[in-house]
Amino acid sequence: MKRIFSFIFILFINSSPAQDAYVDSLEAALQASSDVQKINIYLDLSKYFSYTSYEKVIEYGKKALDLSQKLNDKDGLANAFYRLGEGLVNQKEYDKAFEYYLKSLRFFEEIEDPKGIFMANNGIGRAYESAGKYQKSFEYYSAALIQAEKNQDKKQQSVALLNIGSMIDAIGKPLEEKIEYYKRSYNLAEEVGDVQYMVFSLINMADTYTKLNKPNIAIKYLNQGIKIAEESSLNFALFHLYGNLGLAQKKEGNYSDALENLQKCLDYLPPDNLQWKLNVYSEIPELYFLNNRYKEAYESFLIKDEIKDTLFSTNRDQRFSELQTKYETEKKQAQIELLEKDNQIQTLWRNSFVGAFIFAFILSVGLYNRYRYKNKTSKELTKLNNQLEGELKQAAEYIESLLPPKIDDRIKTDWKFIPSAHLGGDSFGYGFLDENNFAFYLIDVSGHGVGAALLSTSVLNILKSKSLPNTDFYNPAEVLNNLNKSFNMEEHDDKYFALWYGVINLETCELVCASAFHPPAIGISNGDIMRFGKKEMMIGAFQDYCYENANYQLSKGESIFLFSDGCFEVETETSNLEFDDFVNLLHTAAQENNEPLEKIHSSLLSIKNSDKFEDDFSILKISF
Amino acid sequence: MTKDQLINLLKTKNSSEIDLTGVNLEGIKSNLKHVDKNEIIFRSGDRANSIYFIINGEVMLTKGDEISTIGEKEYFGLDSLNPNKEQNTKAIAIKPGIILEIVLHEKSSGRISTEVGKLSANQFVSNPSKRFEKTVEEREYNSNFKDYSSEKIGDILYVKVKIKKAILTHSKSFLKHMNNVIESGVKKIIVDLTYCEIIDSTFLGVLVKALKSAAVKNGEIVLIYDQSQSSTLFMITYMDKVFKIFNNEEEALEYFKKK
Repeated sequence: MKRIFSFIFILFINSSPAQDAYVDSLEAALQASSDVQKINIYLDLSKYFSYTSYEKVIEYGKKALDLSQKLNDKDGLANAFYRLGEGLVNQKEYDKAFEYYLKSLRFFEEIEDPKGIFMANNGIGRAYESAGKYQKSFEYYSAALIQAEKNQDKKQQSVALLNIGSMIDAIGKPLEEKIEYYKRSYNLAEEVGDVQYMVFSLINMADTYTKLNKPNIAIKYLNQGIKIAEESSLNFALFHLYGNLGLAQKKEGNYSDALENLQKCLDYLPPDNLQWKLNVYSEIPELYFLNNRYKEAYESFLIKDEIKDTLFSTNRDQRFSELQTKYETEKKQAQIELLEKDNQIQTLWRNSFVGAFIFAFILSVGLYNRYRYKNKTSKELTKLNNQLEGELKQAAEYIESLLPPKIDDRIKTDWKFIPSAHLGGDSFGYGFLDENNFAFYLIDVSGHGVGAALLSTSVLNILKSKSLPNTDFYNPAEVLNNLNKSFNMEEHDDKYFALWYGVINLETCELVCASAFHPPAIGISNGDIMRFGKKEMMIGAFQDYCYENANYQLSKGESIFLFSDGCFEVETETSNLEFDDFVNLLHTAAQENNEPLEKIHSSLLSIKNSDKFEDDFSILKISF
Repeated sequence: MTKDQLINLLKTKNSSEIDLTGVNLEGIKSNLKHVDKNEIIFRSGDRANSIYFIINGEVMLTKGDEISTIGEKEYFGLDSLNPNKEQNTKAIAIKPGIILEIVLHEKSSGRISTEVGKLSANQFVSNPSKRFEKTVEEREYNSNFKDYSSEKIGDILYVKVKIKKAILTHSKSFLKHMNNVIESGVKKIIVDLTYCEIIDSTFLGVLVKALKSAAVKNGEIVLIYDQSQSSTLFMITYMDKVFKIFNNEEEALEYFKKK
């Protein structure tokens, strides 16, 4: 709080007469000037507004810069960059200010302008100081001092010393050292007769002494300063001088003089500088209080609050407008980005749409080709299937053609043969061996298909033509044994066959039969049910297997049903048909005189709840 | 009891006084015959080689116009007690039943009996099988495929067929599975068909083929199929001519344990 009045004024290299007429005359001079002159006029105008309007400093600086760039005037460029740095550093745009100061330093070094080099170094120091980098600032101010000494310019040296002095406490050195720098600065200023810098040095010395709790010395220096300033009409310096005087007197305990001087300093307050006004009014209510002027203390307190509010709102407005600008910039940026994104998205959409279209096209072409191919293959398959079905049908027809005709003699025969769609390998035959002996048989080859059918027909042909060597066809067991010896399943694609072979002697009414892995034949006579045939192994499995005959006594009017396992191995919806159930079905059907086999077939289909059998359906009825 | 002892016994006693049920027939060739109704057991004039003991069923004997009927635990065919004689009666089963044929004289015509094993009359007294106690440690799981699983229990391999319809389409894979099992050198194989509802001819053919392959390596395959449950798989019952068929795993395991 004690530092509030210790403003450091730098670079009052040229004193400003502060006359509006001065600006007008310069503006008028612009009309008739050459470009080079114009640059100088712009620079002068920029310099003129150094303490009043930063905006104008920048405005004229830019004009000077544009023109200098046009003319490639390095002197102009150096000075213009410097002016811009000055303007920006006061607007707290430290980064930009630093950049422009550096540029100006480069150009000043290029054109070997010693004063310029000093100013640029000083400026960089200021930028660092404003940014709070005091060590860096101290270094550049020191560089400026060296340049000033080289230039043998005492005024420059005074400025540099003043600035260095203000950095001493900031870089951690004792306050006393500051006074050395300020004293040197004052002496140099006095040597060249620069009142401004004499006053600045005095203010800074006084501030330091106040801090060092030596207000009487501070007052002494300040009064000296006031005397000089009043003689030279340095009004803006008088604000600081009276202000600091008031503070020093307050510290001394002289409240009435302190109050008086603080009120006096307000007379020299630069217009619209609310911050400085607030600084003063932060002290005034307390001093009224200390002078026992409570009413005025209260009023001044209200004024202080008012200033504070105004300043705050001004600051706030400023901040708001800054934020607004920042926000709008960001918004614009965001919008631009959004637009770009939108564009990207649209591009993406467009691309993906095109991609999807191409993909769909390729897919449809592929699908169409596949469809065509499928159509073609399915057509071919259908054709092939039809061909195969046709061939299977032909094979079935061939098997049927080998089946014996139904006879109605001393023995009546009936049969029903429905080959399955893929041929089951069933076949059967019968015939008289002599006038009294009637042989009948049924073959069922394992598996399905043409292979099974071929094997079935070849066995059938052997039995029909009785072409098995050394075989008594009256003896079923011998037929089976000999067949088994000559047939090995390993030689026939693992196919084996079931065979039932029986011979009825009409004279004795006896049946002799042998069965190889075949369900028994069923005899039905006067309601009695007989089973003909033993459980034996299939033909083709064990070559030394020995089949045996079974003999049965038959009675006149008896019916014998011989059938393949495809007839009774019927899957119903719930379970499988039991063999006994099938036998009962036969029994019932046998009582019907009319087409019993047809009845059996239809009954089984209704049990099965289907219109066809998986396996061949072969049933043979012999009655006598 | 030797054949001669039996002949002497049958010669000296009246048919009603002899109960063959308790007689040990070991050493005497005998066949167990299932007879169907109206089946002719022998005709008059046939060579008399055997006497027949009715385990159950009824047999009608005719000699000219003389007709007699005999039933359980009775025997007939006494013409065979003396060698080289012919039957002078005709024997017809009038009910389905089981008859034990005791061969006293070997047939000259050289027909080989298809007996499965040595039988004695008292074998038909029911003999509940002891439950085979299996411990978890004895079991080591070898494979577990979708359709067939193999489980080793000691030196016995237990193959379970886990398909409902064991038909043509599975035959190839099952044959491969069985061949692998047999090739591995296992001699005692149990095939469990309990799960199967349908077994077609091709699948049965594979079982037979596997049995033959196993026999070459002195192995044996037995089947598990619950015959009491259903007769729907009619044809599998025919397999008992070459396969031992058991009703459950315990019986099958016990069979191999005894071996």
